[in-house]
Amino acid sequence: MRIKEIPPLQEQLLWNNFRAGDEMAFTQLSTRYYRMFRHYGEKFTTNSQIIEDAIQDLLVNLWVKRASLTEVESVKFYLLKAFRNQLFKTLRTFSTVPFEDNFQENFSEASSEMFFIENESQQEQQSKISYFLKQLPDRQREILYLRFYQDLRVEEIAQLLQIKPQSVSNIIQRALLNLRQHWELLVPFILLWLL
Amino acid sequence: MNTKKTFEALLEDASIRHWVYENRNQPTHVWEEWARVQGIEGVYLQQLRIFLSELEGEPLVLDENYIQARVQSALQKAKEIESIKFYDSQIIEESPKTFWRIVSDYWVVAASIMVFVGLGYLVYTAKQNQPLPVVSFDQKLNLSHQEESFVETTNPNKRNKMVVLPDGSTVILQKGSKLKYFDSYNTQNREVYLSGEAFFEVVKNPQKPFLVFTKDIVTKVLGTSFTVKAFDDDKEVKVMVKTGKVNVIQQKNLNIKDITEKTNIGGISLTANQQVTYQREEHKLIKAELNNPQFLSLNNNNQSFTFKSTPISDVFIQLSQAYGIEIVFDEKVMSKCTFTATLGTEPLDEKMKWICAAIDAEYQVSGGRIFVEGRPCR
Repeated sequence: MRIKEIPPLQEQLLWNNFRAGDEMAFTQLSTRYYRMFRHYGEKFTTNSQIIEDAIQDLLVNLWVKRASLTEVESVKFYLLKAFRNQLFKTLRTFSTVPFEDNFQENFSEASSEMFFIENESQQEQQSKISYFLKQLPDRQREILYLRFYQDLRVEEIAQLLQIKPQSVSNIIQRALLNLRQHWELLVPFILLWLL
Repeated sequence: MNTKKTFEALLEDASIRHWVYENRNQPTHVWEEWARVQGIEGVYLQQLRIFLSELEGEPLVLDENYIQARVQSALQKAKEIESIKFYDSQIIEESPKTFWRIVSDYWVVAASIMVFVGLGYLVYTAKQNQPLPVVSFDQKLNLSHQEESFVETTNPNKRNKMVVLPDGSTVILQKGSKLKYFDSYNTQNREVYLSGEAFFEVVKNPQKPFLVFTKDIVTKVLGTSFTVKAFDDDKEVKVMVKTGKVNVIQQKNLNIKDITEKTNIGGISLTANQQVTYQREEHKLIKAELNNPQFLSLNNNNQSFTFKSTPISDVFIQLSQAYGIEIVFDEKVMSKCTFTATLGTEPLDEKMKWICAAIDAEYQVSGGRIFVEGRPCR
């Protein structure tokens, strides 16, 4: 889930209070980011129990280790990164087969119901975009998700995935170029819809 | 029409993305109106709407109360862990893992001892300014030693606490008891200082006698199991032997040289199912047969356990009940794990190592409790 923007200063304050042992601040932060963890987690596994376990372990560790945490530039980025690491750790202990950190195709199955569908051409566009996203490599899809859904900066994505920022930019550009080619096929439909 | 620039520019604009996500379920006219006001081409806005919705994927339905409950549960768990760690750092300095040397080469018979020593240490009468030529038991137990670091464990709880000594010998510390040992443990001999009650399972090592110092008496072990009960406020001190041989002597009669040089330090020798009682007022040691010995809840003579494809949870429950030690493990994760073996007189630490090796798990002792981290078995 997308996090409602809160003033960065307020978030820093929450973070610092939490680090100082304020339970209310911890509860607020955890509650605020809970849906984000679940949503991100569901891109990797359909097993919600694993995601829930990972979230529990993450929250427990955060509280226990609060004193050793430092100030962070972005609380959201810190938590997203910590969650990603925890999730992979949990996935590894759960699965008997070696786990690959694939950003799976768990989206868009229910997407036709999820938002207001006006007409057929729109549905068609949607299924094409859905297809477009599905055929992207996992990493590219995750980058698009982190960049445009989670609002991470290119540098943050690079740090999270441990690749160069330039590679992140290149991947986004390439994906969008690819997307544009899809769009061009779609434009007539859109124009029809507008008329 | 420059599709690329316009669409990508919109996509890069965080405020536009926010608007799209916030209003994705609004009817078309709201979108058209917003596009007009913003001066955005309706086509691109529509593209953006579809693209971002697809990126989001399935909507997540999570009840607010559920989230609150899960966060509270995590906080609760964290505090539990914390209280153990806090307790450890305040009162106990657990022996670090690196100490866990495997001395299986040495031991033939493990010894278990229960020692009950007085609670008098709670009333601490300071005599710091009177250096004595010989360090007394009281000093060893109660003073903080500048020259040598030590590990001290106190158990104020009802539940037993497990302490693993550097040589793998295991101490089950009971309520209201305190155990201390120094860094020199296992150099020349293995000395522990006890006030209260404890059950010892001693790794056999004839080269390094195991000595339990209590207020009045010293118990020497080579490879046996026994119990010592010596509460400061009690009139009697008791040493009860479960297996093997034990030597008990009054502290004032102990010749330090004898500890390492002689197998017998004088005093009274005890074998299995015998006990000695020390009468404090009369300074007398009286030996007797044990009719119905009780060593924790270990009800058989050699504390052996036989498991045959036993579910791991049953194994842990049996051990936990026998020793009165809490074993924390994830029953769900290890639900398919079983264990087959006969465990004998080895210390609990050794027993746990065997079990964990068999099921590919790891374990550690924290705050006197055993924590097992396992993996699912097939």
